[in-house]
Amino acid sequence: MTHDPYDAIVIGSGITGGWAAKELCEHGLKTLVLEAGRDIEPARDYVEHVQPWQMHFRGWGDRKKLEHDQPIQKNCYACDELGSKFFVNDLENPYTFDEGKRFEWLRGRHVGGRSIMWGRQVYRWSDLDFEANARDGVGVDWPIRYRDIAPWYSYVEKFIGISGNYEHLDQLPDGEFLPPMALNCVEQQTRDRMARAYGRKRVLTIGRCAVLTQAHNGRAACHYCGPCERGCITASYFSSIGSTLPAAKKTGNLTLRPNSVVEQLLYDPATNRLRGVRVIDAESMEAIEFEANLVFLCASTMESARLLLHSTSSSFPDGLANSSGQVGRNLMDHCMGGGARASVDGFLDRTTSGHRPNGIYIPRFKNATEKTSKFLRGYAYQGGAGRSGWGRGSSMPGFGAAFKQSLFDEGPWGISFYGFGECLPQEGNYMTLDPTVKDKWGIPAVHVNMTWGPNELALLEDMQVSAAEMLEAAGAKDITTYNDHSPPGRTIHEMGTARMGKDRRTSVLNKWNQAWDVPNLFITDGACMASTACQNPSITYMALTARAVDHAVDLLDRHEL
Amino acid sequence: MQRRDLLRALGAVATMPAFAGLSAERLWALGVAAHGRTGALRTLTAPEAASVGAIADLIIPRTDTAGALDVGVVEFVDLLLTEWYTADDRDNLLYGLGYIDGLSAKYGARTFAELTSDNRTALATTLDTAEKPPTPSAASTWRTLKGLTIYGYFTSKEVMQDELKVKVWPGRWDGCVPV
Repeated sequence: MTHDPYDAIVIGSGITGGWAAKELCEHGLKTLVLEAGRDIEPARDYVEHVQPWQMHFRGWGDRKKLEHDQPIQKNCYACDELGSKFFVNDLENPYTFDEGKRFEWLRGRHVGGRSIMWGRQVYRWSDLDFEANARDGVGVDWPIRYRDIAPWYSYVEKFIGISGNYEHLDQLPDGEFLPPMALNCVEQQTRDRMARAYGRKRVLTIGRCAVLTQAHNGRAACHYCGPCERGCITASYFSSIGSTLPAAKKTGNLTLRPNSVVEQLLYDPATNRLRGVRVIDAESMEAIEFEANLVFLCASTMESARLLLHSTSSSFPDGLANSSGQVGRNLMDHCMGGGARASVDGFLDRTTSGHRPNGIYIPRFKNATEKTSKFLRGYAYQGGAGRSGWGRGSSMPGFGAAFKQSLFDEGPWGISFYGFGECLPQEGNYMTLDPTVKDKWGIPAVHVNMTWGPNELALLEDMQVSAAEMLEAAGAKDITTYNDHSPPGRTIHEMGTARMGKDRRTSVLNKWNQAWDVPNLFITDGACMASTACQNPSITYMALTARAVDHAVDLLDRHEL
Repeated sequence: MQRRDLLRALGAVATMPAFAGLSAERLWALGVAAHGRTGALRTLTAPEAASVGAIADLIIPRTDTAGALDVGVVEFVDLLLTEWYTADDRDNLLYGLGYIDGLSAKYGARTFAELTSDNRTALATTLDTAEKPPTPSAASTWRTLKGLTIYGYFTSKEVMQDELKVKVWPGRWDGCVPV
């Protein structure tokens, strides 16, 4: 079965698919968005206001069902009693890794993708990041610099709404900010004391996040209910469902087709172009072909590479757009979870009110404001301070009336700095197609081969030391360091399986996110990344997507596609 | 409760042909007698439920606010034991509960629930101050039940709404306000 051709097809409806759809539709292109998973109706599916007493297991989740159906997904904090419906069933969506090389692939399959459950932290990159590969001789040089992407950061930030504080730091450029959320008392004291100890070398600031602190573009300000990862009925944080897809729909040019598992990209050797895609309807299992002049692949880092590797032909026996052999290679994820926590005296007459969906941020300082020879690149911290609640009771001595009453009062203040480190691109970290395992729709599963290298392990060690130093400088007590030993993947910042570059022999995409080998194919999700920096990546994907659509439309106008 | 559910809940005893003609109420009474179970509970026997209840009540008693027993903590523990715990974890907790009852003999009672108020406090104090107890043991079960009591209490509708006065839509964020 085939359909009338579209001007453009977007594969995926998450953070980048939504942006591609909006931009293409607003440029007047009839655009088909193919989403592998089911549709999401916020009024029916969002569950952020459900209270623990309204849940069967009071928020602890159906443990036995989670362990059976979602043994991987359940490792994400957001895959809980209610949020588990936004994560895939691991039995239907298998992938493999070698014994001893655990990789956690955490994902959703539904309209909106991970833009529903994402962490909402948004940080620009600087030339410290874009020049890193060239400077260190690691991976390949980025084909762009900050000046190429800066206007596009502004463009996407103005649309989605970012709250944050202007800090004027070279390594972390400011964006187009809505008013920042407030630090709490202890965070403010820590910021002030760190400023005295470190000047502008180590700065504690409020997180920059895609959560509205005032009404913006028809979306309401945050009402501080707390569990963003379960959806937001007021669309106060950025998700494609709440912002980009409605904008695309408004043009009249959008066709959104859920339950559409793209099985292959269809290549026409006569024109050296994609002519369309073949889809398996997730419910009926029927195969359907759709045609278009332009394809934006935004299925997520590993799904996009999987689709390329599965789209073989006599022209591309090793996978579509893979003449460089780089598709699936250089898989990266931020190494996270080294840090320190401490208690803070005082402020017992002060507390917080509301649930701030955001924390603190300490931008990278190692190999930025302070040189070190112990490792390449660096790390940043997220975290925050707060008073403990009744949950501390189970580890407190005592019982009875006074014990009970004490739990109605808040406990002392604590603070934690949790590190996120850069991951180097390495040939040896890669994904391929599993030779035997297939998913529910008969498509070969991903096989992952990834481990942290010595540089990531060194960062994880240093994160603990620096966090303890700063907490001590800020006057905190009972400082303890920790290391989560998180496996690759758990940070959910996977990147790099179809990297951009300057040379078609060593990269998959050019500086416009356009496949060197197939001019009407653009890939703008995390697959395109040539390095990871240490900042949360989504805003960079968004900016690259808007920039790539602008270029693709230019090429169409000039009849060069 | 429907007769069909009742039969399932009561198991083999109630399905014996000899009892086919009994009314639902009599069947229920029979089931309680046969299994030692109270109506709403599915895993805890009546004596176990009494001990869990006595422990929960000791940890979070009724004061000018509701206590653990008022907000269904025993039922919450039974729910987790039935649907959430692994068989090993459930058995360990129940073995440990048996040890707690066993220790009650020192004070002249058959179960924790039968202890006098002073003796409950005395036994609980020794359990509460035990360091790194092995599992299963009286102290490890005490520790688990203490956690479940606190969690079940503070996440109950009554406590969240009436005592903690949790605002589902706070509407604003303040980082530093007087307590």
